[in-house]
Amino acid sequence: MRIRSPKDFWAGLFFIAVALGFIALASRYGTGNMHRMGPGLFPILVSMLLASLGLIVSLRSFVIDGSPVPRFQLRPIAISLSAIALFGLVLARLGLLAAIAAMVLVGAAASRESRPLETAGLIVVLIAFSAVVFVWLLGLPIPLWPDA
Amino acid sequence: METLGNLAFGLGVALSWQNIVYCFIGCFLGTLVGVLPGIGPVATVAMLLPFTFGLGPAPALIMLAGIYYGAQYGGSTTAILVNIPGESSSVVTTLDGHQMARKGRAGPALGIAAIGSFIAGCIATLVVAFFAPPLADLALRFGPAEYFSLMVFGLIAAVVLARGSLLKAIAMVCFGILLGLVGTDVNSGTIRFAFNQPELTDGIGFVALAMAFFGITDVVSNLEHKDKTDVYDERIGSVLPSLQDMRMSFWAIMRGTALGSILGILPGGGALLASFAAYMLEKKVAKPPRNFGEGDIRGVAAPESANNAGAQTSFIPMLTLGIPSNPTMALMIGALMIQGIAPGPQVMTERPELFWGLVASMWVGNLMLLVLNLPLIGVWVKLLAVPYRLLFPAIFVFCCIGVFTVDNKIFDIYVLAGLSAVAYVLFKLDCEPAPLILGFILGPMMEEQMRRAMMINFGDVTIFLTRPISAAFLIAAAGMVMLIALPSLRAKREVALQE
Amino acid sequence: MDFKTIRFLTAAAVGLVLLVQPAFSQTYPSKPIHILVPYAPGGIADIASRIVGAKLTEAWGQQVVVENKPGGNAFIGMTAGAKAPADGYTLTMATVGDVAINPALFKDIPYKWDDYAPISTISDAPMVWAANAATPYRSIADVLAAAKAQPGRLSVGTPGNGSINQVVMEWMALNTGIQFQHIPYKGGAPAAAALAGGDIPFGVLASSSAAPQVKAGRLRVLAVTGAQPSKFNPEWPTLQSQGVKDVDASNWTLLLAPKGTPKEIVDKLQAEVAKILAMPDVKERFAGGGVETIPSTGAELDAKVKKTAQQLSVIVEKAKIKAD
Repeated sequence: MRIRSPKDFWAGLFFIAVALGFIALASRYGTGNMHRMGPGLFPILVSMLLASLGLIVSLRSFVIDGSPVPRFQLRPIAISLSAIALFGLVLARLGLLAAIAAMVLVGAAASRESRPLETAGLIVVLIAFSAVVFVWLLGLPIPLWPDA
Repeated sequence: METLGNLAFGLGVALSWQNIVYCFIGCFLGTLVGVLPGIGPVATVAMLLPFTFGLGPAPALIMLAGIYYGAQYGGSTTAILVNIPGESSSVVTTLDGHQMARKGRAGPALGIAAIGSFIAGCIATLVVAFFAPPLADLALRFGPAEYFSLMVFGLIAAVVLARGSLLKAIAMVCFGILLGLVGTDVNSGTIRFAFNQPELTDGIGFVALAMAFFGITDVVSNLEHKDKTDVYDERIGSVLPSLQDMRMSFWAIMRGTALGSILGILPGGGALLASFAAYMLEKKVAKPPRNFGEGDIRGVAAPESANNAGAQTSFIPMLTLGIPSNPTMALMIGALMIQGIAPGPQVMTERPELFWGLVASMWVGNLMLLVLNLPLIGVWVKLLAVPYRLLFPAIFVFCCIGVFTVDNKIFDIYVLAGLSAVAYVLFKLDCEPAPLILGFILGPMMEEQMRRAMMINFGDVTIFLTRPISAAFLIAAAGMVMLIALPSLRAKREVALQE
Repeated sequence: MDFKTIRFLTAAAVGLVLLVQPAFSQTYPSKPIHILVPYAPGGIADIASRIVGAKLTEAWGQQVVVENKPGGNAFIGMTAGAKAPADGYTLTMATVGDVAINPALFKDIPYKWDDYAPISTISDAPMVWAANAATPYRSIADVLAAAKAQPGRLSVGTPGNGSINQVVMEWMALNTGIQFQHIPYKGGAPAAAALAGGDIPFGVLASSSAAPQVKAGRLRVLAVTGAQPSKFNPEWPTLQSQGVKDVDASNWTLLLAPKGTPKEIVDKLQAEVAKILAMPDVKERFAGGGVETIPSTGAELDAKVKKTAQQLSVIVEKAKIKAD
C-alpha cells in the first residue's frame, strides 16, 4: 500500500479527528426523540456523516493519484499567528496604539523583505490612521491607551 | 408600475447627499482594498465592516454594498494589469484581460470591464426590483418546514457548485455546520462545544471565521511566494474602447448579464460561478473571429458583466429570505444584525426605506464605479506598485480591529488566530473554504428550523413532504444529487469548474 | 536625600493622592463615562443607553460611550460591569432578566445583585399575549379553554429560552393549572414573524414587536402581561382582569454602577437621570417604541429587583425552566 494522494489522505484524517471530537462532546447533550429532538442529535448525525466522508477521502487516497502536500513554510504562518495573538494581548492591557505597534513590529518579520525604517514609518501611519478614523471619526469604543 | 414608484422612492433615499457620500466612500474603499492582490470581496467587506458601525442601518448597508461592488471591480483591475486575480471571480478575467494588456490594450480592457459591469449592474438592479417583492410575499408564508428544506437545497447547491473535490466539499460543509453549532442551542438553551468559555456561548464570531479563511490565509499564502508582482507599467492609454470593441462586446455583455443574474440568485452561486459560466458560454456562442485566451475583448466583457450581475442578484435571497447565497451575503446579514435588524421578508414591508434605498443605491453605486474607475485607474496602478511588505501588516491591523469591534471582545482576536491556523492547514490540503462558510451559516439555521418544525408538528416527519413548497425544495435538492451522481455530468462539472 | 527617603516620600505622595481621590468626586465627571450594554445594538437596553447617554453628555459636557458587550446570557457584559473600577466611569444598563431571572436560571452565574450599586430604573416595555389573527381565539378565556381541552398541544412562541416572556407564559400556566408547548425563537423579531405567518397560534412578545403586525391585521393582542394596562394601548386588557391571578411582568431596564462607587457619584447620577427621564423629548423617544420612562431612586430599584427576583425564581423552579 502506498499513499498516492497525500493531500486527500491527511484531509480525510483531519475530518475524522474533528468528527470524533464532536461526537465525544455531543454524546453528553442528549438526543431526545422526534418530537423534542435533543441538543446532541443533530451534531452527532452531522459528525457521523463527516467521519464517513473523511474515511472515504483518506481510503481513496490509496487509489487515486493526487498532488503531494506542499511544503509548509513555518515563518509566515507562525509569525502571522503570533502577531495576531499579540495584538489581542497588548490591546487588552495597553490599548490600541501599543497593540498596533507590537503587531506591526512582530508581523513585519513574517516577510523577509521588511526593512526596519519602513516598518517604523508604517507603525506611525497606521496608528495615526486608526486613531483618527476608527476612534475619533467613527467613535468606536476602542481604548487607545491604558486607562489611568 | 408600483415597482417604479418604489424605485423612485428608493432613489430619493439613495440620492440624499449623505447616502451618496457613503456610497462613494464605500465604492472607493472597496476598490482600494479590492485592487490589492489576494484580497477578495469577502475579506474586503469583513475588514471594512467597522467603518459602518457608527452609521444608521440604511447608510451602513449602502456603504457595504458599495464596498462589495468596489471590491469586485478592483479585483478585475488587478487581474488585467498584474495577471493576479484580486479575487476568485476575476480568475477568468486574467485569461483574456491580461493578454489584452500585453498587447498594449490595457485601457480598452479596463474600460470594457467598467462599462460591462455598469450595464450589467443597471439591468440586475431592475431584476432585483421586480423579483424581490413577489419572492418576499412567498417567503412570508414560509414556516419552519419550508425553511429547513430551503437550507437543505441551499447546502446541496453550494456543494455542487463548489470547485474541487465533491467529497471534500461536503466534508467542509459538515465541518462548517459543526463549527456553527458552537454556543447556546436556541431550542434547549444548552451550551454546546464551548469548553466553559463564556465568550463562546454565543458561538464563534462569523467575522473572525471569514477573516481567518479568506483574509489571513490569503495574506500568508502570498507571503510564501516571493514578493514580486509583474505590474504592467507601460502607458495604459485611452480607457475608452473603440466603436468596434463596443459592437463586438454588446451581446457578450447581454449574455453575461442574463447568466449572471440567474446564477446570482442560486445559493452557493453568486459572482464566482457566474463569471466562469459566462466565459464558457461566450467561448461556445461568440461569432468568429474568436481569439479567446489571446486577448479577445469578449472574454473580458462577458465574465465581468456576469460577475457584477451575479453580485447584485445575490442580494435577492438575502433580502427576501434572510438567507445568504454566498459568504459576502453572510457578512451583510451579520452587518444587519449588528444594526438590530433581523433579515427576512418583513424587512421590505417594515423598512421600505432600507430595502428600496439599497436597491436604488445599487444603480447609483454602479454609476459611481464607472466615473470613479475610468479616471482613477492610474491611481490603482500606483497602488499596485506599493510593495507587499508594507501592505500586509496594514491588512493584519485592519483585520484585527475589524474582528474586535464586532462585539468589543479581545477573545475574538484569539479566535481569529486559532481559526487562521486551521484555515491554513485546510488551505494546504486543497479544501475549499466557501462550502465551510455556507455550512457555518446555514447549518445552525437548518437545525433550529428542523427541531422547531418537529415540535410544532409533534414529531410528524412527513410534514416536510406534505407541505408543497417544502416538498418542492427537497425534490429539487434530490434532483441535484442525482444529476451530480451521473458520471457523464460529473465529468462535465469538473471541466466547467476547472478551466 | 537618600534613596530610601525618596522612596518613602513617593509612596506617601501616592497614598495621599489615593486618599484624596474621593474628594475629586466634586469634579465628577472629569473624563468620558462608559455605559456597558450586555446586548448587541438595537435592543431596548442599547437604545435606552444611547438616549440617556446623549442627554448626560449634554448636561455634563463629558462624552458618554455606549459599549456593547453581548454574549453568554448577558454574563459577559454584566460581569465586566461588576468588576469595573467603582469610580462612576463605568456603568451598566441591565434588563430585568439579567438581575431577576438569571440568578434562578443558572447554577454558575459569575455575578450577583450585591455586586452593584443601583442607580435608577430607566424604561418599562409592556409585553403582550398575542394570537395569530386567523385563529379563533379572542380572549384569554378562549385560550384557557382550548389549553384545558388539549394540554401541552398549544404552541407559544417567545424570544428565547429563559426570557422574561417565557417566564410569564409559565407563570400563567402555573396559576391556571394548564400546560403549553414552549417554542423558543432567536429574538423577538423572528418570534413575531413566525406568529404573524401562522407557524404558531400564540406568542408572548414585546408590545413594540407585536404592534406593526397588529396594525397589518396579522396579530390580535389578547392581553398585556402587566398589572396595569399599557399607557399607549389602553384598549388591551390585562391578564389579571381576565382571571389570571397575580401575573404581573414587563420588560424593564435599570442603570447600575459597580458596588463601592462613592455615594455622591451614585446620587449625582441618579438625580441627573431622573431629570433626563422626565424630559418631554426623552419620553417621546421612548414612547416611539411603546416604552415608558420610569425614574426611581436607588433604594426603590433595589427593592423592585429583590421583589421581582423572589417572584420569578419561584416560577423558574416550579415550571422547571432550564437553560444549561
